[in-house]
Amino acid sequence: MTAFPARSAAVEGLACCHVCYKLAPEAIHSCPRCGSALHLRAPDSLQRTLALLITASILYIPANLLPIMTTEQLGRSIDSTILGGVILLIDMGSYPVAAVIFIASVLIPIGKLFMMFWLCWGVHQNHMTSQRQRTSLYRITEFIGRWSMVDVFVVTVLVVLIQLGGVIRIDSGPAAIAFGALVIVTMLAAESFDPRLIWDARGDRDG
Amino acid sequence: MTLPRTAVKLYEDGYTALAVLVLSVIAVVPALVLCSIFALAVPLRQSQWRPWLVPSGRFLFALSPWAMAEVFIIGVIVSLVKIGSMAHVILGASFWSYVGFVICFTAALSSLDRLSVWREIERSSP
Repeated sequence: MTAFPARSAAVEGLACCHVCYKLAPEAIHSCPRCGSALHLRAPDSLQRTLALLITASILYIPANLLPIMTTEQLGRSIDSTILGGVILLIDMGSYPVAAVIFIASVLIPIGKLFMMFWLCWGVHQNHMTSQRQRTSLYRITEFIGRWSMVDVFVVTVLVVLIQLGGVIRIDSGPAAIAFGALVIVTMLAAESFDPRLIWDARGDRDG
Repeated sequence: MTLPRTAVKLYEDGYTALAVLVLSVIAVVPALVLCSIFALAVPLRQSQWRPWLVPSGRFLFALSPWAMAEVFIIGVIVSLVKIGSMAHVILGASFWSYVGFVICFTAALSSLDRLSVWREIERSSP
């Protein structure tokens, strides 16, 4: 990313500190107010984000295919995946809870992955349109990511709560760790993406 | 069931990473964030300079996305609904105090303005 939009701070060699948002000349390398490293744009933002996104996509497979918990009832053990849990909740008639789990553990992760891939692709292709929507999309992805942790927490609470001797017992499954890692990695991906790259594509037009 | 018990159970089941992750985001990180808010807000209110202002500011803003106390509450509520059909659950004092904590904690974090915190730190610096 060498071409910055005309009249932007980056053209003047001014960098906004990532931590405290102070505007300072990039040439001094560390922020005069908080001491963190100064960059015009987050270093290797696209590469880091893409690497983390690919990791997250790979983690998405075990997170959904492997059992997130195992219910042992009267000697019979049932593995349930994330989607299986949602279907069970619908069968039980708790639609609001089923909706919460479905949105938090199915829609949000996959939606976030697609949105971030689309943002990276748009930056890579220097798309000049709909920057405002892209920026707000980025804000949304940054905000909703954490909510995917709900399902991991549900499992951790259930495994402790349900231990009624030999009658019923719930154990966490390997998908829980894959899913937890998925959430962490997508949050890191959102953090390493520099939304200013979206606006840098304007460079040629204004300049 | 207590909060630390969740982590211990996961650890016993062999999910050490998950235990560490869960305990961090629901208890350790919120506690650290809370401490750094205090470390910042108390001196800044009196416009006093403290040597730890800058490091705790950086610490706070790096850590705050990883405090997921409010997400955990939703997780607890969902699991209560899930097992509501097969068992009778009595909510302990910890549940209500955690709810109160989450409400205050979220309110504290959202009323903390990053720009003005740093502006205050700069103003109070000697």
